[in-house]
Amino acid sequence: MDARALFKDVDFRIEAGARIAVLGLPKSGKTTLLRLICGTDYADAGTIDRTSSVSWPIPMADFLVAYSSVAANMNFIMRLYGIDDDGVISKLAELVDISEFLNVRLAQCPRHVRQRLAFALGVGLGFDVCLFDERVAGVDKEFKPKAIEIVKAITAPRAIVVATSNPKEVADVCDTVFVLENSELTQFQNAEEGFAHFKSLVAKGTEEDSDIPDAGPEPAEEEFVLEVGI
Amino acid sequence: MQRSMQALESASELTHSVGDAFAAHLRVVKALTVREMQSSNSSYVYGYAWALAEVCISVTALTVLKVFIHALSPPDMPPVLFILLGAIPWFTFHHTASGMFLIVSQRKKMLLLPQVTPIDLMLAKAITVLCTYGSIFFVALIGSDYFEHGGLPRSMAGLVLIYLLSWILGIAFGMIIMPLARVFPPTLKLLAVVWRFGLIGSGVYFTITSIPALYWGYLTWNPMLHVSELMRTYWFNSYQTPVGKPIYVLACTFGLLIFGLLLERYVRLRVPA
Repeated sequence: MDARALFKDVDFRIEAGARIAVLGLPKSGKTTLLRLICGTDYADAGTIDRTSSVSWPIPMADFLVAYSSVAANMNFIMRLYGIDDDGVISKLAELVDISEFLNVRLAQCPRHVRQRLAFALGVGLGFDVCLFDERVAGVDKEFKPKAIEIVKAITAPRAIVVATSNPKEVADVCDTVFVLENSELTQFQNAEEGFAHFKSLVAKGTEEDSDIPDAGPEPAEEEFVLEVGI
Repeated sequence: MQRSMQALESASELTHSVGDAFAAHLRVVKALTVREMQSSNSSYVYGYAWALAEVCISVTALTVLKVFIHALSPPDMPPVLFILLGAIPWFTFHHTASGMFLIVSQRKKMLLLPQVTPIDLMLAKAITVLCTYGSIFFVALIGSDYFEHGGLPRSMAGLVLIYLLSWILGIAFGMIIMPLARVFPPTLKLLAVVWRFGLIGSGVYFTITSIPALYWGYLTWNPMLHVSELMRTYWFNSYQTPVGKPIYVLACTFGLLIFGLLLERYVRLRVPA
């Protein structure tokens, strides 16, 4: 079966302090791009150079175990990333106001605890590059304003990449916009131009039928160079 | 001189980066192993204790059967000790292999974390099985030897080595089965038959001397039979296996391990999930 390239001629570098928004229509490959950046998926062609620590797509939290306590789940991530400091767990819990649930099984906690836990683990462990999938603050409404402030404060010296199909999510947070369209990633120097272009893309998409393009002949190996580094 | 210095520096950097990568890998496997033990039976009140209890129940059932049947073991081998020396290495091998090829599908969500690879999950499961069965084995051997007056083992080092080889053989088997099951899913159905015959043909219930020599050739290809024979030889002074060869077990273990690692890598890169 012929394969269609998901990304073509993608070549960019994530610098320290970068605030990058990747806008794309649903099913355009945004999450796959994040997974390639963090290393969960592997590219069939090209190179991805990582010279800094990269988070997983926040607020992904499927690795949390429902029958373990909140603290045990946090301990697991600490061990995984070699974080020895015992105080980190209580600090993260205080950050997102879930201290009272630390010794409670996750299955018995309210839904917002799981969301805040996933958020805290993603932004609080000091990754050099934080990746966000669809939402910058995927938490309950009550906590969302504080979560956005936390993201701005904690990630100030670091880079963030937000892949979303909703420009409102990134309007206040990102200053560099890429639009993922027809397997190509286009950078816009002016964020407003990027948002406007994406809006026109969305408008065009609602007017026309969204046909899946015919699979063409297998493309020649493209040079896929993605530098993720500070 | 300058070139030598540059070469030394490059080698040093390479060693550091390989060392750092190895340390990171060990850290990930350790975290996953602890996680595996904590979440094993975590829905029950006593959690991991049930994993240990499960092993004890299985071995006790086999032992009770053996004691009441009182057949197939030589008269100078206490029955409980006899069964333990055959059953626990087999259970270790079996549960390591089956645990490894199931763990990736059971813990698929862990692979969403960038640090975690399928090999890490498999190794964590294998280490969990070794800790579970190894601790039971150690306690049970001491207990049954005390109550049955079986005497001290002939070679403790040999016992430990062969037991560890049975575990590594389980890892190798798991490495081979996992990619095969991915390419040909009915493999798991066929495996149930293999396990049945494997349990019978691996000397868990008998020594090779209780089978006519004419039929030894049909059984001695099985490395687990050699494991059972060697375990009993290394414990009982009165028994010397006519067929068990440590070198055969070693060759099978590492040969299958290398093959399994290559096969796993080949299928992971070439066959879509």
